[in-house]
Amino acid sequence: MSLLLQVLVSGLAAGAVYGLVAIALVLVYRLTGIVYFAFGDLVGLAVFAALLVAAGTGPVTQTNVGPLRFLVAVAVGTIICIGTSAAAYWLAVHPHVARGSVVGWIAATIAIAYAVRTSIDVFFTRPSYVFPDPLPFQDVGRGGFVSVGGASIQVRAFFVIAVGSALAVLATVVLRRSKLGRGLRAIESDVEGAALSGIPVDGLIAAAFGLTGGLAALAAVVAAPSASFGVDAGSLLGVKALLAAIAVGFSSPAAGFVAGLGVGVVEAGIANFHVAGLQLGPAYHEVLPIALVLVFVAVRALATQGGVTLRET
Amino acid sequence: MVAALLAGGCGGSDESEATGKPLTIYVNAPFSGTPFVGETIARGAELGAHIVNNRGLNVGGEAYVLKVKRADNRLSPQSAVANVRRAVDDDAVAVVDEGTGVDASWRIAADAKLPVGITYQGGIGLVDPESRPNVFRVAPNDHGLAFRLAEYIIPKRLKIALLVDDSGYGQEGKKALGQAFKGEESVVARIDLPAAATDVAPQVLRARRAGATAVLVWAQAPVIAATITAARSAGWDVPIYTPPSGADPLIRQQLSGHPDWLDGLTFASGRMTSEVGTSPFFTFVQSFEAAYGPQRVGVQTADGSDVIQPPEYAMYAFDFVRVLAAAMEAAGAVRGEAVIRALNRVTIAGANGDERGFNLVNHEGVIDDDVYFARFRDMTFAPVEDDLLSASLPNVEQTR
Amino acid sequence: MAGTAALVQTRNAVVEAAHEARVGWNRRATAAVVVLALAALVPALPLDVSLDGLAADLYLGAAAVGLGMIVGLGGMPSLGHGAFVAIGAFGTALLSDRLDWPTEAALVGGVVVAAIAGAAVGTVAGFLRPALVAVVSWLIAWLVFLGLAAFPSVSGGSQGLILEEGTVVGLRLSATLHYELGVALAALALLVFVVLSRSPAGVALAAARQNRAAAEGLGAPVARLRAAVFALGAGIGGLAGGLAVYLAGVADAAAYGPLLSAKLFIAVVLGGAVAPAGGLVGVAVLAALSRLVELGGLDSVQAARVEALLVAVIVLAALGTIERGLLPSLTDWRRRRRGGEPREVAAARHEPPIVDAPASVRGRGLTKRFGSVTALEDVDLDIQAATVHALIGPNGSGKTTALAVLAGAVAPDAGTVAMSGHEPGVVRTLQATAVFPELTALENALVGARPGLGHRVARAVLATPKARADARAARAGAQSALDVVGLGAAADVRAHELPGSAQRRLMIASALATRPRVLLLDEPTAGAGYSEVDLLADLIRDLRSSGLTIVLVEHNLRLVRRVADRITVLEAGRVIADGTIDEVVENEAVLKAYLGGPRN
Repeated sequence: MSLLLQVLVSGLAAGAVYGLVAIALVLVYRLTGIVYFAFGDLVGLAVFAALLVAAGTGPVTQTNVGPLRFLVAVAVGTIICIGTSAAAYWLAVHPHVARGSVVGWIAATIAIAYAVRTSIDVFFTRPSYVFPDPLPFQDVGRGGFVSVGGASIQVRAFFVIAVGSALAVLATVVLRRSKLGRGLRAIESDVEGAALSGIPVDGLIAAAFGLTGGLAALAAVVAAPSASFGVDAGSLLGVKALLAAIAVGFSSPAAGFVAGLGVGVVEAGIANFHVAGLQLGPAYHEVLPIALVLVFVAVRALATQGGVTLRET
Repeated sequence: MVAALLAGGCGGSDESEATGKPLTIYVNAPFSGTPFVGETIARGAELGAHIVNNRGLNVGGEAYVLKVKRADNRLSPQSAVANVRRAVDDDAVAVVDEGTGVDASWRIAADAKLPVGITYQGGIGLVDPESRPNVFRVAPNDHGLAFRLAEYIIPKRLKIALLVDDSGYGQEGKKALGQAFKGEESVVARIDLPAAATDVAPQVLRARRAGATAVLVWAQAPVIAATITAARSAGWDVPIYTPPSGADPLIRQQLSGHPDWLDGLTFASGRMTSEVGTSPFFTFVQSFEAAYGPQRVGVQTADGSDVIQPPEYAMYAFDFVRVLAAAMEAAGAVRGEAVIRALNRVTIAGANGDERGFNLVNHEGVIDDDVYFARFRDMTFAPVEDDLLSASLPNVEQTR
Repeated sequence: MAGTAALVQTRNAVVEAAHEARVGWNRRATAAVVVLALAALVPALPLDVSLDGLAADLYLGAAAVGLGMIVGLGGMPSLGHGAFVAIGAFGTALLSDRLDWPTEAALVGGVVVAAIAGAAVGTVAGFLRPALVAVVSWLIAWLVFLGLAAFPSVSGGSQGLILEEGTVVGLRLSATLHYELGVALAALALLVFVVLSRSPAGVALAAARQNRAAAEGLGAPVARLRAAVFALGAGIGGLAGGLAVYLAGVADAAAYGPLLSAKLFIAVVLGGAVAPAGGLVGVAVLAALSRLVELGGLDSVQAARVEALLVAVIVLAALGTIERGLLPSLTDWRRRRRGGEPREVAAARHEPPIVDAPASVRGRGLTKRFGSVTALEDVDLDIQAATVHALIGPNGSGKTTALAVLAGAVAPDAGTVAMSGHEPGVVRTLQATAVFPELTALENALVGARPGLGHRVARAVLATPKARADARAARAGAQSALDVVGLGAAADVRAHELPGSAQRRLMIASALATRPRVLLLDEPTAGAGYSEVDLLADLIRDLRSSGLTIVLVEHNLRLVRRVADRITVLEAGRVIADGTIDEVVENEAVLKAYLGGPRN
């Protein structure tokens, strides 16, 4: 029982981050029809940019960065992430979208992801780095852990789940109620109509990019301190968020978030699956969710003969 | 004796002081992906080349200068093989290898009579003097580490949980541990950890439930840090043993807020000092830091001094290059069968003060007897008292 | 006796093929052969090149050409090609290492597995939007990579699977032989690409890339074709992977990560997806770029890391500036220098071929709802054989839906559609000009050439005598369709260079090329001028005389008056009048709802 609770909580914590990036992916897709493959790596960029500001390339530990300096670093990291996201879209992706070249923007977003990844490599040569925790979770319970029903759970995990869910709700509310959201929904249903009725389409799309870039950066800050962050963790994050997004067919940001939670829980479950000596083990924990979602997508596509997923002109 | 005092720093592979015909040494290691490993090996090799060049390399009446060239293996055997092919085409005199892809590349080097020195990976089977006469290793190997660990832990009559991660490092370790702890009744759990996991509390819980009173975790640094966190935060003060990855600064950085959690962490590694004392290694560290600066861990001891990490793995590449130079001089040739045969004969004084060399039946520069244990206390480590070899070793200074 | 007959047949077929080749020979073919010969001779030249490095690049280039087929011909942006290369590589390696298969058999095994995987993925991809194809294929690339890394028993762990040196037909696979094989494989891949793109299957795929619904409306089996081209591209990738793994001597998971798939895709886009040699050019450019940056003088500790970043940035810049890829930009530039104006291509019309068994169509009780909107409500339609039946009504009255239901493209919620006779043969044109702008007029008509005719990708690639005969017949049919509408002289003109009136007739020609018995026309006069309407009326009347049954949706009542035998008037999804033009014009309800006002 306690094992189950442990798996559930750590799965949800990881899944909350996947979910937040999935929200960003779905939102951008619904607005522009493009899949921003570079989002995961941008999250990695936010983390490492913040690290760079906080401590240069010197060693960073959980305790050697003062809170003020750290806050500045996080702010700078978020700004860099938002700026890079919007700039990359404008300079490298928009020309292809304007031309209607699908392979063009796909190649561009992949190239951006690669460029971001290699730029992190220039400054950070070790495989993993420590991301200091600005919030005093270490002081709660026993070094940041509480015992719940026999399971030792990181307090931080609850925080991540709470923040993730709050951000997801916030994003959904903004989309539904605010002026920005209304404008975005108008663009989503009819681009030309929206432009004709005076909505600044390009500006709003850029705002959406920036906003979601900021969301992703926030996700990074929220999740990264839980353990050491690898230089390729951003890329992997992007893949899992993509998995969640396509599992729900890019239908809505909220659905993407829930799917992200699901992916996290399934992963944690498979990694710890241990029934009567039969252990699936860590080898399957990343591979099996991808395989399952792909099978699901394939079955749905074949069953509807395209149907919902096709909708080409 | 090694007198490694330098007049100035040496940065990079540009040797402008010494003159002679250039000989290229290839460093086949990861320079992307995990550049830190490749850089460490390359720096050790460069330092070794610098020493040799300063002393003057004179083979068969001719003066030579050693140059170090970096080749990125991208942690992929295919790239490593391509690099060795390039080294052969380039008339290199040796390959200092991180170890990736040696199973595939050694033959290409052997056909060209090119000596290969592994200075990082410890996988058993990489080195075999009989079938692979041109492959040598100066680095702690998994077999030695695992057997010494078994030799050290089992007599304590503890119930051991063996945890490994699913990275290549962990899986090679699993093989070695399987041999060393074969049929051992005191092993109560064998658990696999995901290498990319941020939270291994469930697995640690399983180990605890199995009744373990000691944990041996053979994994990379992030997973070891996660394991320590999971155990200590649950109030489980079990002794934890690790291979050399336990000394990785990352673990201390991650646990900087809990120095007490780190106390008692014991790791096995190749010894950096010897019975003659600390001065040889100290000299090596000085030259290394003069050239590349100290490796600050970023944490402080209780009295506020900065902790630095000694450049252990750079030492192995450093030693291999110097053994190679000695072999060339002894053979009177810079390449070919003669050099490989000479490598089986010569010995030099290693940076740790002990003899370093190979022979016909043993191509391991760091033998079982060179494996020692160190325990953390107050963010620094010191050789343990309850192991014969370790107790005889002096400590290495780790603060500034 | 039978043996000799077979031999004679084969000899005849070869002679015929040689003759066709000689006839179709042109400067490009000569240039290609010269380049091939030069490439093959490189090992003999006293150049200081690393043959195994070149061989590795050639194998990568061949794999890129395979991807080019999937992206350029199939229109599916696959970000997972590295997975097929990996499957080919590991399939070959496992067969050779674990089962001790000889080299040739192991290679074939690897190709087969890769092609099967490609067919499976292609089947699904055929039903997905391009963006989603990209996502799915990217996930597959990661799946294969993570899977190989997670199961060292399959992938040989961190040291990889070691391979014995291969032998092909008794020859040791040396660096030189690998190089020659690389040249051969790249050339073969190019040839396959070119042959496929010129075949009717390739034209259908090209049409589907521009307007999938229109192509399917003309009967092209788009999903099946795409699956087939996916399998083909994957098979080529698998062969390249298998050969490359013998070259490297070791198969390891790290070498086949998502980076490989990304690299291949970017290479194809850089070089131009629609150009057969685009993938090769892209790979060459990327290789040259890395080499250049390496030599750029950054020989310091930072070099290796900054290198990768530089290459990425340069690639991004290149992608942004070169619009459709290097090779297509070159062709466009050359074409622009020659200049292009819309060409006037009027020509006399030919007699349309006679329809054997004119068909009548009956629709009973047709009902269709889209959500809360009722498009059709209990509609009855009686269309008599070899007549022109017009459907008119205000906007939103359900005319286009009725046409779609008659064509079978939309299934009604209730009601039946029955056509006399047993053979199928209903085709419809879409609203608004739905020609395929980049294709020539002949190719436009070729898309519709009787479905099944020459659409088999494998046969087209192998250029069997049957495939070639089918292609000839299809081309003849397309040409005669063009002749019927008076565009016979415009066969080689690209559709977007034709004036609007010609494009409208081209649309009808494409439909006619499918040899239908019932032709559904959706507003054929949209955008037409006054006199053009008369010409269209003449065409429609001729088509009716040949036995074709025509259902016409039109706003232009002048055309309706001149050609329609019967008219059905729809309003808000219901039939409000049905009969001859005179009967309908008298109808009170119609007058009120639609015609209103004085007769025109």
